[in-house]
Formats: sequence, C-alpha cells, structure tokens
Amino acid sequence: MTLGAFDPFRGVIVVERVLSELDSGCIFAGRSSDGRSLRVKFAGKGAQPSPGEAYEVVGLRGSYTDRYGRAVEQIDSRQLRRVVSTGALLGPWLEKLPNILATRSDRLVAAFGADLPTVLSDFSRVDEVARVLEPSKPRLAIRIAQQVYAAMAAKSGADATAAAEVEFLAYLESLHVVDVYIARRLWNLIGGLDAKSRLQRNPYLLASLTTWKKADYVGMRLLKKLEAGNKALDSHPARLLGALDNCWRDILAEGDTAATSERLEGMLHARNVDPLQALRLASELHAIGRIDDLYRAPGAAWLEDSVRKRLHDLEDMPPSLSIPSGDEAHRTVFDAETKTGQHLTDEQHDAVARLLTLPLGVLQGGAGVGKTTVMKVLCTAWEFLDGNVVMCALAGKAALQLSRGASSASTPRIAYTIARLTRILDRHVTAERSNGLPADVEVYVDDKTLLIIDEASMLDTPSLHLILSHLPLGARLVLVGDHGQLPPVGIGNVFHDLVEEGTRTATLTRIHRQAADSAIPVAAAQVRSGNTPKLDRWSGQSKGIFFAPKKDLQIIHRKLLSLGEVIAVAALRDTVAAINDDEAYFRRARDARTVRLGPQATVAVGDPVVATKNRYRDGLFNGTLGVVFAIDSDDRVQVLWEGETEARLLEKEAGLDVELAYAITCHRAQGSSARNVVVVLEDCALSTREWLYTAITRARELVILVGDEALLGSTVSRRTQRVTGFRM
Amino acid sequence: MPRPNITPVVRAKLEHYLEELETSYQAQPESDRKATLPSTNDGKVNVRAIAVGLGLRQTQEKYLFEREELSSLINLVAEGQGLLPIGARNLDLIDKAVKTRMAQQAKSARADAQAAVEAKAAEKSLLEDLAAAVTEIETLKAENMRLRSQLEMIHAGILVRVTE
Repeated sequence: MTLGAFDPFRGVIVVERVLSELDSGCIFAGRSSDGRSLRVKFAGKGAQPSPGEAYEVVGLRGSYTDRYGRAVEQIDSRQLRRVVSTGALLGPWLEKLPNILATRSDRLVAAFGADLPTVLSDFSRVDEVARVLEPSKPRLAIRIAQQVYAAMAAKSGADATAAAEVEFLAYLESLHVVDVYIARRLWNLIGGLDAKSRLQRNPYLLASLTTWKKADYVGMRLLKKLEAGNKALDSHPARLLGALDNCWRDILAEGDTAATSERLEGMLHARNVDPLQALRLASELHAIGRIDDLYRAPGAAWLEDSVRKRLHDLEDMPPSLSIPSGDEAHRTVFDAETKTGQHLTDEQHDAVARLLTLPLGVLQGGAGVGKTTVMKVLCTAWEFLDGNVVMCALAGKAALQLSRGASSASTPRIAYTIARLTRILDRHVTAERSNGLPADVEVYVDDKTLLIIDEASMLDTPSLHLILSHLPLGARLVLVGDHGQLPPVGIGNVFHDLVEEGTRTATLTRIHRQAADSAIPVAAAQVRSGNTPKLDRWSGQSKGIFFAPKKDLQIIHRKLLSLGEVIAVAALRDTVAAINDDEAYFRRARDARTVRLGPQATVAVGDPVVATKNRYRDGLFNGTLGVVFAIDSDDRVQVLWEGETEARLLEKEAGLDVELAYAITCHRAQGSSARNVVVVLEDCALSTREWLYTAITRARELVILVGDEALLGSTVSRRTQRVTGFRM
Repeated sequence: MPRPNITPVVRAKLEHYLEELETSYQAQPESDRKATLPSTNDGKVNVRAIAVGLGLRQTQEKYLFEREELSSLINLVAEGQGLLPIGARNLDLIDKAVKTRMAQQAKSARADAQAAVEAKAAEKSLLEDLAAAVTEIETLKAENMRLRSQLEMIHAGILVRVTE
C-alpha cells in the first residue's frame, strides 16, 4: 500500500461507503461534486459518516494503492465538517433508496443537476421525475417517483437538523470555540433547530465543559449582546454560577466531590468573581449543598445521596434467607471451610462469620492477607444458606483473578467486570418487560443474592450507583478492597469512606502471600502507616525491597527484563512513554519487523503489551498484560495474553486499545502482580504514600525503588487525599 | 468460477411484469379498481404466484423474499394496489390493516373520481403532512439527545443547568 505526493484539497464529498470507523478517525469512499470517486482518510474525533451524507473535507490530496495494485485518489484530512448535500451531490443518497440504483440516480442527476433538490420538493413535477426515472415503464416509474418524494421529505427534516448543527458549530467557531470535542458535547447538551438561541439563554454553559478563560470569554460576549446596557455584567448571576460550575469541573476532575470554603473561595477568587456573592446566590437558588464544613458539588451530591439511601434501604430490608448468628454462623463457616478445603486463620474465619450476617459488609485488607480465600469460603457459606452469589470487579484482570481464586474444581465461579454485569442485568430487565423471561440465565440477581465487589477501593461513586440501581432490595453487598491503595480514578471514594466509618468492616491484617522472610510486607506496612522504610542499595539480590539511584534505572530494568516477569511502574505518563520508547528501541533487532497498532503503540515480536480498555468481544480487559508472539506477512499481530496458553490474533480495532508495557502507570497496575517490580520515584503530586504502597504491593519477590533517595521520604509524607460529601 | 449474480436478471423480468400489472390496474375504472397483482385470501401479495408468473424455478422463489431490491419493488406496487406487503403475518393485524386500506381506498377512490387534480392535491397535502411529521420527529429526537446528554452528565456527577 503506497501513498503518492500531496497537494492541498478542499471540497465537498458525499459518502458512498464507510470503509473503517474508529474512535480516532475514519476512512470512507465518496464522490466529489464533479463526480470523481475518491477515498477520504480522516484522523480526528467526532466524525461518524453515513452513506449519503455530505462533508466539507480539507486535507492533502495523494493517491492510495490497495493490495491489488489499484490506485485511488485519497484525501488525508484532519478537518471534516458535515454540510447539507445539494444539487448533483444528492446522487449517492438517491442511489441508496430502494428501487433507484445507480442508473436511475444518474438519470435524475443528469436531467436536473443543481435543481434536483427543488424538483424533488415540488410534487407538481412528479410525472416529470417519473418519466426521467424510467421512461419505458411509466406506471412503475410513477410509484418509484412517489417513493422518492416521500424519502426527500424525510431527508429534508434530517437535513434541517444537520444544517442547524453546521450553523451552530460555525457560530461556536465565531466565538473561538474551535475544539471539536467540546463543540460536539455542547451540541449534545443544547442541540436542535434552536440551538443558537438556547446557548444565548445559557451563556455560561461552557463553564462545565472547558477552561474558565474560554467559558468566560464566550459567556461575556453572549451577555454583552443580550444585555447591552448592563454595566454590571461581571457580577451577572449567570457569570457567578458559571464560575462556580467551572470550579466544580476542576474539583471533580481531581476526584473530589466536595470542597472546603477556603478552597472554593480561593478558586472563585482566581476566576475573578466575588466568592461570597457567588456562594450566596448559589445557596439562595439551592445550587450548592453543604455537609459538615464542606460545600458539595450538586451533581455528585445527588449521586452520593442516592448511593447512601440505597445502601440504607438494603440494610433496612429484612433478609430473605435465614441468616445464622452466633455459634450457628461459626458452624456454617467451618462447614464451608471443610467443603472448600481451606483452613482459615481465626481472623479470616471471624471475617467470614461477620460478613455472613451483614446486609452491607466491607472486607478490608492489604496485599497478601488472603482476601480471595475469605471470599471463596464466604461464597460457599452463602450457598449453604440457599443464596445466590454474584462476583464482580471493576477491572477485567481483577475479575479474572477472582474467578480463578474463588473457584474450585467442583464449583467454578465466574466473576464479571462491572460493565459486563450491568449490561447483562440490563438485558434481563428488557427481556422481562417484553415476555417475562430473562434473556439468559448466565447470571442473575434477586433478593437472595450476595453481591461481592472485589478491588472496591478502585470503584468510583458513579459505578457504585450504577450497580446499586441493578440490585434488588433484600440482596446483600460485600465490598472488598485495600484502604491503603490509591483511590478510584473517577470521582468519590465510597469504599475508603466506609472503612473510615468502620462499623461494617471486617479487617484482615496477617500477611500470607509473600514469604515470611520477605521484607516487602514489612516495608509496605511501614509506608502505609507513614514511616519511611530504611532500604539497602540493591546489589543483585533476587528477593526483598531495595533502593537504587536513578542513573541505574535502565540497567536494572534491562537486567530484570532479561530474567523474566517484571512490572515497571511510574507516576507520570511521559515517563511511562519514555521508558517504553527506549526499551522497545533497545530490545528490537535493527531489522525487526514492526507493526503500528495505532497512535498508542508500534510493536515487534517480544514486546510486552497491556490492554487499556475492556473489549469483551475480543476477550481483552483493561490492565491485562501480554507479549507479542508473532507478526505475519500481512502485518497481523498475535499476542500471548497472561493466563492463556495459546497466542491469539489481535483484531485490528482492538490494537487501538493496546499499549507497550515495558512500563505502566500505577493505576493500570492495580489488580496485577509480578515477581519483580521496579518503581520509578518522581517528584510530582501523583507520587504519594498511597501510590507507593500500591506500587510496592504489586511485587511478589523483589521491589527496587529507583530515584533520588530523598524522594522516598517526601513521597511517603505526601498523601492522596480525597474530599467527599459521602456519609453513611 | 463464481456463480453469476441472478438478481439483475430477475429484477429486469420483475420490472416488466409489475409494469404490465400496474398498467392493467390503472386501466380499471378508478371507483372500482381491484388489485391485479396476485394476492392471497388474507389480502397479502402472493409471492409464489409472482414467481410462477415470472417463470422462476421453485428454488428461485426465495430470492423474491430475501433480496431486498426485489421484495421492495414488489411491496411498492403491492401497497399501491392496497395489498399487504411481503412478510406481513399477524392475521388480526392483517384484518385490521385490510379494512383500513379498503376504507382508505374507497375514500381515495371517491376523491379520485372527483378529479385527478384534486387527487394530486391530496397527495401533495399528504407529503406536507409527512414533512411536518418529520420535522416534529427531528425536534423530539433533538430533545431526547439533550436530555440524555444532561442525564449522562448527572450520572457522572456533573449537574448542568440548562434553561430550555
């Protein structure tokens, strides 16, 4: 496949066939206004072309030669804008209509040219159109012509919306809103034939979507037009509330759902509005909530209150099963231990007995304390009571590990990712509404269900809200996680908040996973409690936790890579990318065959890779690690994923959600473990005690902290603090 | 060698066949037109009879059902003649639809009898009704999109206050 020389191109192209559609762009075959066939390769977000639609395309003209040697004119474009198809450009749309096909479409275009839209909107010319369509079959032609007129009427309606969108986006451009992603989100919020006037009624809507500088610029321009004589626009209510919305946007982006008055007032002040005036107005309009001495983001507050209410409802519901208590509960746990062949410690045994009796339970424990073993026994005990167990986790990898850990030869158990579980349960609701029967019985939840959510410390409040909306009253919930780990990537912190509150928590403290002589658990526990561990410099040991200077990073990483299983963790994405680039370059032979999977990765055989999204259809889960096993002559890539015995073909689309994994971020590593872990210490806000603890606890045998030794102390003292308004 | 595509051949035959039947349909007095396309007792277009009329082999009959460019052509003429299209199944619905169609036909036949010009005006008005309905659908679709988008943001923790 080759490309020829480039010339600038700008013109309208009507889509005939969509060849490829991805998050990062699309390729389609189309026709220009002079009738030429060409191919458009668009790199960018937001375009979802369909046959018959017209786009103004700006790009570079080249040629594309396909694998059969055919040359096609190709436009490489980064700028694509939907326009209304007119005149002869209606041809491809007409062709797609039933009973028209290319010949009749061409006849209409040839006969009426640019007047075609006018002709097809004037019903008095239907006989004329019929004669052009099919002169030899006038009776049939009149029927087909009527059909074309009806389709044209329908198209006109859709085109009016498309035209309104084009006009709206152009209007945004005139207001200097040029980010396509932001513009499209705004269209989704207020789109329609009257989108422009709706924006004028909501001049500060952008404040929830973009930076204050941009939002304020647009808002003030709109306000000035709307209220020309108003001299006090700086303190206009729309501006005050817009500034507050913009503060919440930034606060939520950091995962917090509430803020102290100092923080919020400081942020409002930085936006050049009077903080007290803004907060007073918001309070009067009930546009802000309070809890303790904190202000709450209104949307997040609604989510948190819904979650709290649902959890209380679950707790208040009498159990549907006979729940044992006291000695009977302990007997049930002993029976479950016998059935599973597990001999729990007293601490683990008590945890199962406690969780068995709680409608909402929390199992807290650090790495290696045997949480999965406890879950396995808990599942068995619940099944003894005739209950139904459903297990899930946020990340695919955690779900996979839970499936393995909680299953036995006689009782296989599947843990689902939350996304998959909610999709299945959604299907059940739809099926029950239509015919009273579930679509499948792969998994179900009812009032006898015990739902166990693993890695719940990673679970954000929107995800928990989603799960709870699927959980019927009477069902019970156990959240399992590690309070010392990083909080969720998204907003909220419900698991950590429940552990802090403490009344529903069973805690495991005794470490089992790592060997008793390993220093890792001790060091991890020190980090967790805020003490800086004293570490020796690494000098080739295969077990333990050590320190090494930053200059040795490459040597150490390469040595461990040569020994096999290793995860390198860094806080900054730039550091991760740099390590990946360096290692990929270093390890590949000069003539190594490489394949570009997408903007995120170019791979060769032997490269470690990580999936960055859940792709159920391809059996890939966010965080799953693998190694490129083979690349064939057609550039098809085979990957051997962890836990699998045979390499699998990586579908082209799935390749876009795969990255090199010589190094990964700590959030991506959550839920994974490896024999050896290299942790890159960096002086940045992301490097915190919780971050370091999460990174260290990924290792089974060896951890090497690489960086300035002083950074270890500052990292341990820096906390990841999440401020929320969630209270049970 | 790949098997030749039979659809264009069948379509050419079918278009001639339908043209003849439509001509004979139009030739009837407007107030008393009866479908000339073969039909079944329950008012549905009879595809088997069409296949026979076209001289297709029994094994080729399925194309008339399966190939959209053939079935849509048959349906176009069938519906124009007041018959139910290919694939209509529910008998209750069929009864209802046949009755409605008969009533509509009788009504439009009366209108046709008044004057061809009036008939065309009626069709034009129908087209305008369609355009108005499409506009309303577009308005509702946009409202749906707005509300869905605002709801998604609330579920992500962001409340956007939109004054409609």
